[in-house]
Amino acid sequence: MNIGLVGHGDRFEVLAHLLRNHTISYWPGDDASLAHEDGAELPAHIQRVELEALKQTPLIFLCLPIHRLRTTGNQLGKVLSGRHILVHTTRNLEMSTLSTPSKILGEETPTLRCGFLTGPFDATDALAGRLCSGVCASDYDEVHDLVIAALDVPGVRIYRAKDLGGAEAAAAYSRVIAILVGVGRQLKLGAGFEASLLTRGLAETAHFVLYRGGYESSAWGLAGCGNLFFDASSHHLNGESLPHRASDAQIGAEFVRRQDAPHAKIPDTIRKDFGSPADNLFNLIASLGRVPDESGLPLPILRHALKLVDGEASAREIVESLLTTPVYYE
Amino acid sequence: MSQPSLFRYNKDRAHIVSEVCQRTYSAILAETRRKDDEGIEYLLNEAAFQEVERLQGEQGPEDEIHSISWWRDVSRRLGEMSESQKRTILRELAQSYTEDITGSFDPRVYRLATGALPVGLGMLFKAQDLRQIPFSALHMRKAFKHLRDLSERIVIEGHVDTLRHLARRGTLVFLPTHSSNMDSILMGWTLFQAGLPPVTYGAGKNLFTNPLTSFFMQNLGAYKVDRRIKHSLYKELLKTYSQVLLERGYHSLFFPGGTRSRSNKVEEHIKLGLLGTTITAYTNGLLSHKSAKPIYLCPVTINYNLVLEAESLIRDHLRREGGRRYFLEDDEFNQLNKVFRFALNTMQMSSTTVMRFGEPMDPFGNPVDLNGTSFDARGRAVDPTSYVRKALTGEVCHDISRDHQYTRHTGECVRRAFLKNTVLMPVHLVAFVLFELLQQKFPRWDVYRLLRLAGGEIIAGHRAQAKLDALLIDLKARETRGELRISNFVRDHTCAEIFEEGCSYLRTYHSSPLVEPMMNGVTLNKLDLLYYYGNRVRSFPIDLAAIAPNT
Repeated sequence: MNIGLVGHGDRFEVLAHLLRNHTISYWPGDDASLAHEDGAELPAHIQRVELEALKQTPLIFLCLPIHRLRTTGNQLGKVLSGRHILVHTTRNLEMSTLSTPSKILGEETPTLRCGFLTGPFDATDALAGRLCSGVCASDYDEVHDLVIAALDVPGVRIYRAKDLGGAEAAAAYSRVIAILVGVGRQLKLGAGFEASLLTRGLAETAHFVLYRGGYESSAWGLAGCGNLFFDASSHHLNGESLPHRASDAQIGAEFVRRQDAPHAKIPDTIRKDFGSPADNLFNLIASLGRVPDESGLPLPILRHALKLVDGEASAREIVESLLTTPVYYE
Repeated sequence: MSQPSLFRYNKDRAHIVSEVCQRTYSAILAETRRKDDEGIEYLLNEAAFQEVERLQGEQGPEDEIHSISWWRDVSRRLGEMSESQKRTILRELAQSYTEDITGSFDPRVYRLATGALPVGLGMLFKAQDLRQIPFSALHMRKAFKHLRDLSERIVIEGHVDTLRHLARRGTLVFLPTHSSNMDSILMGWTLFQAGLPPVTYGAGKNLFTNPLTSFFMQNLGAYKVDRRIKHSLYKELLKTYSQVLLERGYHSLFFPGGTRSRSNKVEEHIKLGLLGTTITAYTNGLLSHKSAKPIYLCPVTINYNLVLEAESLIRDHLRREGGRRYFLEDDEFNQLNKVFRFALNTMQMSSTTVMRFGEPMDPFGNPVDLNGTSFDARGRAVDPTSYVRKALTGEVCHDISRDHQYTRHTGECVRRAFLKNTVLMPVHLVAFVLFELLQQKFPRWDVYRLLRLAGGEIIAGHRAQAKLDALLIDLKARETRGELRISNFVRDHTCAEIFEEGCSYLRTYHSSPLVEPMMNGVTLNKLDLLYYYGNRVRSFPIDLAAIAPNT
């Protein structure tokens, strides 16, 4: 199969590896400076192409940060048609509008057949040949069929889901929980705290998914629960990784590591040191900040995460405040 | 315009019936072969069960295709029938239902209707005092011209010119909003007046037994829909019928809301059954003829100041939504009285109705220009055939799951087009403002409590006008952003004039005036109808308290 691959980053590397049995047409996107590491040779099955060549690739994977999705989508829209299938891997919502990536692609391209590939997999596991599982969420059976056929390699399990909007909401919101898991782990608050945070965090994620018109089950699936557990896993939190590849939980842990600094300044220093992963995460939380007022949902974990990334309180104060929020029925 | 496609309908009729029967029969057989537990007997049993239940319960004046004893007999024998016998029953049912559904078109009746209809409608909508119309033998032609001159009272606007071009290129499917039984009549006149072709459309079977309407229904291309029949076979036949008509190039019309809006809100839920036939017909066209005629969808909004059946519609809505919270009021009037009252009262008013044609689109929701070119959301030309091609091989194919999603997407595009093309008129704005001010007086009461207890409340005139002023500013900004439309009257008149106009409408037609002017304000009487007319504005996310907080 001739498959298109656009973008960069961790998911890009996973897909580049898992799609090794196919011919890959790689387009770096509309900003070539963010392309696959300069000078690094591309594997033999990947061929760098110009935008026009993507006309011939019916299935295209997009691995892009949210702020690049609209401009890149607009470029892609010049060559795509209703026949193409676009599958993105972006766990985020547009800052100003809270639009999902699939909605953005629907506005910027003529294609209607979109999907979202997400779940607990990363480059480390994929390149080591360890088990990878994920979910392809799409309204279209053909998208599921092609993605599963493309990723048909040993050790890879791709589930199907029909709730595209719900999966995107769950995958984005679970990052809010992950940042606080990192805070709790670094403060050594113990397994009880972490278990409570994960459980109540998923409940909050489910409320958000419902509010966004999705199905509650998407929060408990690989898009919500799967991503969150993966972000919060010990391997992920304590493993060595470069700042520009840091997980959300690792970024949360940084708030504790830097607690001697004035808490109002910590978010900016983290942004400076970690770059786009921190920017994306903090911008997402800031965008979601208006949801409690708009929806009428309490969302206490989100409110506290917002205070953390706004520098309103220290990590310890945030956790103490969280533990004093009123308790109701589960 | 060359002769419209509907003019050849009667010649085609037998072929259409035959094709619909054959297609439905073959599709059902193919489906039953695919699934072990879905033999023909299940389909027939479902039909028999539902028809026996229905016929035991009620029988309207409409002819029944098969009697209850026939259905009972089928039901009893079904378990013992051979496959061949079941197929015979299936074929017979398909034939009899299709014959019943299929309409007819007589060009002579069409010419009569397009000549006589404006006279009838003119009497309903013409503003002038009937005494002014010169009804003498010397001036009959002038008199009829007077009554026929509806163009002042029924305003046609929107993408009419584009549609005239597209009618020559492909098959049009009009999708109007639905508030009243007057809609079909108005659409028929509007299409004729706008130089657009006549259409075929599904009409409730009850309209074919009404002595006033049946003659026209039977001869103007309408096909019968028996809403009492709910089983899958009948629904499948209706959908196939619609598809076959589209494939044969017959311009069509159906109401995507399915039924009249009870609340007067712009349709929020679009029924997808018939809408989906446009994609199936389009794909069939591509598969059978490479140069098949394209299909174009056109959302249309019908915007009334006053609605003929408002009282019964809002009552129906409140009863369904409110349940035990809604207390029913007695209404003595029958249908004829209502029509008569509507005719008398609206003749006194300059009642304007706006028929607005939205931007046409292809079956996938892409806007289309007058050359028939589809464009995506960013204005780039797009090939609509690409949507029904397999991603890997590029071959055109049906895909039930894919097409169902496309239909949902197109339904959403139609819903948004309805909102964009809704024309808000003085009566909507004034009714909305008055009811919202009433709600502000009793912030803890829900709508049902307000309806029950707040009748007779007085709203200060200066407050109402201040709110209306703020609302107008907000609406004009929304119109600039393309979110809705306001009527020419609202655009060209002052707040005071709009308030006066709205109030005068609210005193007209209905069994008692909805509002009564007082020295310094307005007394609110029929709150359910005020709520009904204000619901047109509530179709949009407008928070009056937020845009005018200090009034």
